[in-house]
Amino acid sequence: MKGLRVGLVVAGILFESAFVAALGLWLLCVSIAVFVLSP
Amino acid sequence: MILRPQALDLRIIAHFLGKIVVLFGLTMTLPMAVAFAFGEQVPVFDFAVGLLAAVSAGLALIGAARLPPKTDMQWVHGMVVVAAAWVACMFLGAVPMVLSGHWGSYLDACFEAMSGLATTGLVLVQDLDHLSYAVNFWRHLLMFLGGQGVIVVALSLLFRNSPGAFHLYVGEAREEKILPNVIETARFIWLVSLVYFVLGTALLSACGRFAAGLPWADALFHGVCIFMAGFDTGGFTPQSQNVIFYQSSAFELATVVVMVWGAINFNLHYAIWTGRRAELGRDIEVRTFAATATLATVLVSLGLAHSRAYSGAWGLVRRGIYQVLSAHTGTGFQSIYAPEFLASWGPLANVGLIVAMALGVCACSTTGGIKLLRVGIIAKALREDVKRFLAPDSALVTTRLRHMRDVFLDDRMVRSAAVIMLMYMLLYLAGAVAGCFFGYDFLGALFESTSAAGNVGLSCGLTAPLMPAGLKIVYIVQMWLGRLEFVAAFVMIGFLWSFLRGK
Repeated sequence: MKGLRVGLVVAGILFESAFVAALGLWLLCVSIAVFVLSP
Repeated sequence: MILRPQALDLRIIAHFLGKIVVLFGLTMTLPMAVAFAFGEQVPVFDFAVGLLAAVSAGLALIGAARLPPKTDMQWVHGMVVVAAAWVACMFLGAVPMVLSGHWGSYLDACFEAMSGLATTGLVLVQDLDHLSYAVNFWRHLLMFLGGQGVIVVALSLLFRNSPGAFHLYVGEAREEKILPNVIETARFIWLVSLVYFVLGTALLSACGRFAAGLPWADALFHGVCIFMAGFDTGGFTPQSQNVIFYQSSAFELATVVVMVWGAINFNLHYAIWTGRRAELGRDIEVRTFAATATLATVLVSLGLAHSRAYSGAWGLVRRGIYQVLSAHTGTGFQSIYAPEFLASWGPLANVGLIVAMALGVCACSTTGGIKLLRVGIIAKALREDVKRFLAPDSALVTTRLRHMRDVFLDDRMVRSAAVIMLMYMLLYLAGAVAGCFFGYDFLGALFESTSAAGNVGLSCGLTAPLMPAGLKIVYIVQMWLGRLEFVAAFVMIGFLWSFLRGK
């Protein structure tokens, strides 16, 4: 039971970190798009 | 008619305030331990004076109160204790700082202490690069304690579960209980923070050692300090050049991860850690964050492209996105020098940062500002009004939002969000007017005011030891009001007023 809980926490932390990475990548794309498209 | 408070009211407030002050004083043993570890002698005495002052003041309050057993507090007591505790911790936390000789006056030390506790990150310290390890650690520890919540710290260690504990918890601008029991909620907040403390410190220390080239001892010290400042969205750094000092994209990336971890609602951490990972994509705050971060990125990128602050896309992307996320999460780490904001970023990019700073991120997190739950609620209310006009007159229009569970939007919710949002807007504006009064231009004054009241800590250069004392006091009040989200502070002011005018 304890092992399951620890596993869930580790998976949760990895998931939150993946969210940060996805957000960063999205903002990177937005920023580059603005830079390329701006007159 | 306003009722004058009774002696018992004062005794209740003094008792609980005294307990919090004693606990706060005891936390000064941690920087004393750091002083011993680094072989620093003078700071030990500075912290001994601070500890003695806090513990004796706290015990004096408890002794004077002589509270009968099993007396619990009402809402008014909880709110006044919270508001007063933050002020008391500022005055007492500043003692070892001013004794170190690195602050020009006691007011400067109080400013820095409130900036730390409120997780703002504006600094008035002088010659930071030669500050002792112990006092430097204390600055960051203040951020950690303030970010977790002075009251959450006290609830975890001192209080039994009672209605009074809940009153204290709400007073510190945390309306959401994660677990049914408020003490367990406070302890869960600590559990999340400690787990991330271990992971974040390891990540930052490794980046400090291998990417920035610091010796191991310094890498660990910087890792601990930057984690406390980043996770609690504060923004202090252990040296004067902020994150520019590390000259490392990897280190900057690690701070971004820590900042966003800290900006996530503790409720959401709980949901994800118990297997409900889908909540991250469904929650109104996270969706609003994605939208507002995109908006701020567009504004800043457009502004930087127009002002030609950077010759290539990489400079723009690296500096621009970093500052957007630092501003939006309310952290205030700077990867550029303060004067660059006004000198080379241009007005549009600065407006983008001001918008990001004003909004903040999640309620029940360590960030400041309006909070995106309120922004999301107001956006939903606006959408509902438009839908109501478009629908036939007989149609019943309802709006649902997802925040841990499905909630139907009601007028009370919208009114509460709109009032707090309006109060923040007025606070940002008031600080900007004060800045203009002291001779600064409007954009710079608005930037700094939003940074102070939103507990962000980005500075365009106004905050400096030589700034007018009046403006320092304005920013201290802004940081205090912004951190407590007005209610507790206004109740305390009302409580004092009722002493003068009550019957």
